[in-house]
Amino acid sequence: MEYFKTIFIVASINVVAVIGMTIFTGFTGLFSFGHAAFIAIGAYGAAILTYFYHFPFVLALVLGSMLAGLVSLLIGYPTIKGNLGSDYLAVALLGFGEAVRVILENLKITQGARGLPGIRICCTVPVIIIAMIIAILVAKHLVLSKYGRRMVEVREDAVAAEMLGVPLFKTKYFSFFISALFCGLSGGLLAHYYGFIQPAMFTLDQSTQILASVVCGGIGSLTGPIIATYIFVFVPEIFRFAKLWRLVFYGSALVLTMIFRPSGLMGYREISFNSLATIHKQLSRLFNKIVS
Amino acid sequence: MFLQTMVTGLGIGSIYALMAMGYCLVFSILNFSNFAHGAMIMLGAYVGFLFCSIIGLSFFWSLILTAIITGILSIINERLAYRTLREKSAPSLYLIITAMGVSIILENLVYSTIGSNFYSYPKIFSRNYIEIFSSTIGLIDIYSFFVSIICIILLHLFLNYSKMGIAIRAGVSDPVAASLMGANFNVLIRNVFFLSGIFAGIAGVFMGFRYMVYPQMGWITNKAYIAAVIGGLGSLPGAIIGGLILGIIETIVSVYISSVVRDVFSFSLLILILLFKPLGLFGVKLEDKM
Amino acid sequence: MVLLELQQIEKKFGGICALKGISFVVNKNDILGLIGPNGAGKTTIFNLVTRAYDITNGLILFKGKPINKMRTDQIINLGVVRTFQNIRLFKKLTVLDNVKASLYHKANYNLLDALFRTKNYKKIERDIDKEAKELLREMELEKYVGIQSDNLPYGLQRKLEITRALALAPEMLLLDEPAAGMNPKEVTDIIRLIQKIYTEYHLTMVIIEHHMNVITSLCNNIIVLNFGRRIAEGTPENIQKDPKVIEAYLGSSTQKKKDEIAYA
Repeated sequence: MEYFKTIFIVASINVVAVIGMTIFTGFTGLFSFGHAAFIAIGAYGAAILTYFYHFPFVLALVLGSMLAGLVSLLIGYPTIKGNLGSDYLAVALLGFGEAVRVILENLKITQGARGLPGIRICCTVPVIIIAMIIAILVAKHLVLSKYGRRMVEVREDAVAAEMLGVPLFKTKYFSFFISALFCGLSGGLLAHYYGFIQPAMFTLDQSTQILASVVCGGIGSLTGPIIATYIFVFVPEIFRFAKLWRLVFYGSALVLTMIFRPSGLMGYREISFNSLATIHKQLSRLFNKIVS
Repeated sequence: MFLQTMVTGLGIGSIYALMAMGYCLVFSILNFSNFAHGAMIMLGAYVGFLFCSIIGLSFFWSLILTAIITGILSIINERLAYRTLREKSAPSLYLIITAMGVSIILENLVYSTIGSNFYSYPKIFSRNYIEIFSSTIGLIDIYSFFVSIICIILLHLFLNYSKMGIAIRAGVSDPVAASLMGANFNVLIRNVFFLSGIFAGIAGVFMGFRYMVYPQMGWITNKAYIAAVIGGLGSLPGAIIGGLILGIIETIVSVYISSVVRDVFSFSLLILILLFKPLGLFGVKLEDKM
Repeated sequence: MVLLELQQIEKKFGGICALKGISFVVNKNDILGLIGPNGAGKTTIFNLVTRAYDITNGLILFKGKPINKMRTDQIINLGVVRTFQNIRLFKKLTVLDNVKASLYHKANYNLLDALFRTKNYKKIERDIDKEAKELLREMELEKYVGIQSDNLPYGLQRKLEITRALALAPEMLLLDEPAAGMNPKEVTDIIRLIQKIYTEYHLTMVIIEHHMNVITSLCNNIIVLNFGRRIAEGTPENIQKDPKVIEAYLGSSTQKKKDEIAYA
């Protein structure tokens, strides 16, 4: 039971980051392989505040995620300003991921590659569930408002969106900022769950897992990626003996999804009580057909 | 000291330039970031190691054979992963994600089969250094610099004087018209990927020779992307200049400041360039036809 | 009253001059037709007016204010809206969401309203939904509200694109080949539609079109472009008789070809 609890908590912490990534990649159609760096910034930011300065946990969490957001604004400005498609941003974020790791390994306050041990463990199941619910609600409200709709329009056709008065730069910049905020929050939770962080925890592996959840869960859907996150944390646990092959599995999931089902698990749709009812209706119709 | 730094910088920079050119060739024709290019370079280093160390071929033949093999691998990569997407004219986001997926698969496939050991190439020169004006100059730097120059010249000749090369350039300037060529376009794409693979292979062998061979060495190849963006995505001269600038600056930072902060510097350079020249040094903004 | 005024417009792409020395005015409630062979620079004019491209030289004034340095969304705020030659709907979105996309442009609630679902947010969202549905009803598209827009037949996609442009409440509408690729029946329908919105919404329009009957039955003034230059301007009757125009289209001016133009 304790084991399942651990997996559940780890998955739920991931969900917070995945929601951020969903807004960025799933809704705005931008690409990043460096978001682990924002998780790292959030984790270190929050951990340093509680560890060295004895800040209250929730405040540290908020400030850590704000720090990640602030950094995203600095990185995002030069890379998004030119409106040049997402390649420039993607490359810049790859470099950014490396740079952040190097900086964390060499700063005094982060204690280098050895990491920060003995962080207060404040992240209990209720805390994580509350954080996750807040994240989901914020994302849902955002996505259904004009802000989210603009993101979708930019993803679908940036030129047409611009001609309908959607400010391209602002929309992309804002989406990037939000994704960094969520990743930062996820990092803060992570630090205060494990009680220990080191730079090696925030690598490409983590960025990969998050992106795989978003893509396989379905572009343009919130519920899909959330479900996919749990699958992607639970399934490798079942196949523990093949631990080395975990990333091969994620990579293949990305490629196969794009080739055979680019809409992913739940592309452009959401699971709601209505859709559950529809599924139920279809299943029972199918059942009746089989019986008769 | 300064001369030595410059030569090392040019040596590393020329390898970055090779890597960036392979990446740039694909970008200029398909307009998406082929992030699998880094994995190709990594595979090149392994294949080169196989020929050089295990089979025991000479450095020259290892280089040639590796280039051909990575060229073929690159074609296979395009055929299996990208072609279906291209034919469905999927958004470039899908292609980027697929490319990154391929890169992750290849890197971790190597990791889980060959293992995470570091291998080093055998010695190929009787001496590693020569003395010029009382500076020690690495032979490998000179060697990689000249090989890169030869590759660049050959590519230039190919693109300007061969029928296929001219077709590729036509495709670069107007992908839409080129895509109307149908079957021929697939041949053209195949050749572009072959070329890009050749460049990846050569760069990989030099990378492996200079550093070591290990699964995550694909990470060094991020420099290829950074160099290409500094030079201006899609511009071949940009890729060359971007690679050289990056190599020289990194070497200067390593020698005079500290090798630890090298990557932070290259990233800052990228951000600065984007801030003041959003299209890179040689990039041209194409105004979308509407 | 002069609404749009172009003064000595020049646009170069690299070394190629796409437009040179173009000047004209569009008065309020005019319907101006822009015609000319392919590559004459017609769409480029739209791209310059909406600032999809930057102008090389010259001045564009809307209601006397220069707009060639403004951002696209500011130009839209002034009331200049366009459609595209190759339909650019948000293909994966529903018909309703396509129209709403335009209406969100003037939705004035802030982030906090959206996050906390305040009264203001709910009211504006409700209004937008209502307005979008009303507009779709007016345009006789209400049957398709929930359909993904790329599943619509071609003619209706055009109609939806025009509806989406109307949702921005333009004063001036720039239509880029609204009848492209349509059969004669669809062409008649689109002419009727444009006439209808012209009177109902008190619009001023510029229309680029190759179908001559669209131009002749809608426009009171026509400008003919060729190779980036203006070669003629006048009423439909005069333009059809103009030898320069006939030459631009056909290379020479025999009577038979003149008939072809009239027919085309």
